[in-house]
Amino acid sequence: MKFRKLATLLLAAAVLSAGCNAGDTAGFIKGTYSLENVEGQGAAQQKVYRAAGQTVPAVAKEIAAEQQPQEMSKEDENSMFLVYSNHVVHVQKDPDNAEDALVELNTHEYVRQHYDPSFLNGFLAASVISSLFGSGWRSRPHGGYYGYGRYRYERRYGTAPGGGYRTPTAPRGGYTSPSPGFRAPRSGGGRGRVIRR
Amino acid sequence: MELFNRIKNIWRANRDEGVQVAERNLTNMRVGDILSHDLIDYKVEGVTIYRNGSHVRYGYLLQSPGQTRYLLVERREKLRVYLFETLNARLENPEEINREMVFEDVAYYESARGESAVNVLGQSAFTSYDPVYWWLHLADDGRAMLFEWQQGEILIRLGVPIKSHEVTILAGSE
Repeated sequence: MKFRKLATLLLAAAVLSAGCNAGDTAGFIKGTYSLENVEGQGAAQQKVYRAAGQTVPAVAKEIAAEQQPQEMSKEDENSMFLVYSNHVVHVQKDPDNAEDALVELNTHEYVRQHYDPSFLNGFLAASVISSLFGSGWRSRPHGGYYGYGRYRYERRYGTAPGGGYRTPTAPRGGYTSPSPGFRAPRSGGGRGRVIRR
Repeated sequence: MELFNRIKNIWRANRDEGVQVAERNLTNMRVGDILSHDLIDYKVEGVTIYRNGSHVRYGYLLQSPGQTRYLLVERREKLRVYLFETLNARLENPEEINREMVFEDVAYYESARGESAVNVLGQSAFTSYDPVYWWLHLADDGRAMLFEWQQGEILIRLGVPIKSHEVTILAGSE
């Protein structure tokens, strides 16, 4: 009887421990860095956190020390990936502020839907990518998504960040939209009207 | 109102039990907080942080039964707070925001304009990826009209200035 109780307790502890480990990475990132942005929902979600004043390798090592990833890309000053059973963590230098690192916590589905396969090929082994997203994913037409920081930078300034992720000196001048096809209203003198629909 | 009263009661009960609830003010509200103004309780559904150099403004999407409002908070020499209603309206000339804009026989004159990077949490008309271009026009009686443009869509909001001491904020989370 005592043995059965002990076994039950051990089993409960093991289940609890496994449950906690599953959320360790997300919990650690949430508790350590400040939330910057959330995109998507449910199974396809990305949360972006800011690691102020830290380098990409230092942040990646900090996260890996908290929970060992299944796969981790080699040390890189600009981008590093950590693969977990529930998430893919992409640590990247912030193109807008080279002093900071951005930490993307992506669900696998978010990566599958958004990321450029050719970009991931440069960081993770083909076998890892295939096991995560299926063998056909690597050959799909690329969408040009390389991570939140670069995407935001390109949308804002219209160009990819220059070599070494230079901090831009100023936003583009005038009141023009960064994307072709849309143009913000210009400021003008005189009188205009607002009309209720 | 019943829902908000229940949340208030829970919050008060928690406070009495010594649970640490973060103090909230107009520049650090979060999604889920409750803001009361003029006998109406609103729930914060979205937070938009506008950054333009060192200037930071906060926009809160507020929801109460039957109405949606937008609270804009700007810290200058003192706190400027506007409570806006988003109009279902359009510009007569969509390519230009003029120095004087007339709406229903009231003239609003440009007071400030700019371009801000935005961070968005919760519900918002904006995305964090693109800058927001904005113009603030004021009427002689103090009423305000806010024009905000992002990625081909313009939002036109009509509002009034309010005093910070006229609002009460209850934290919806720790």
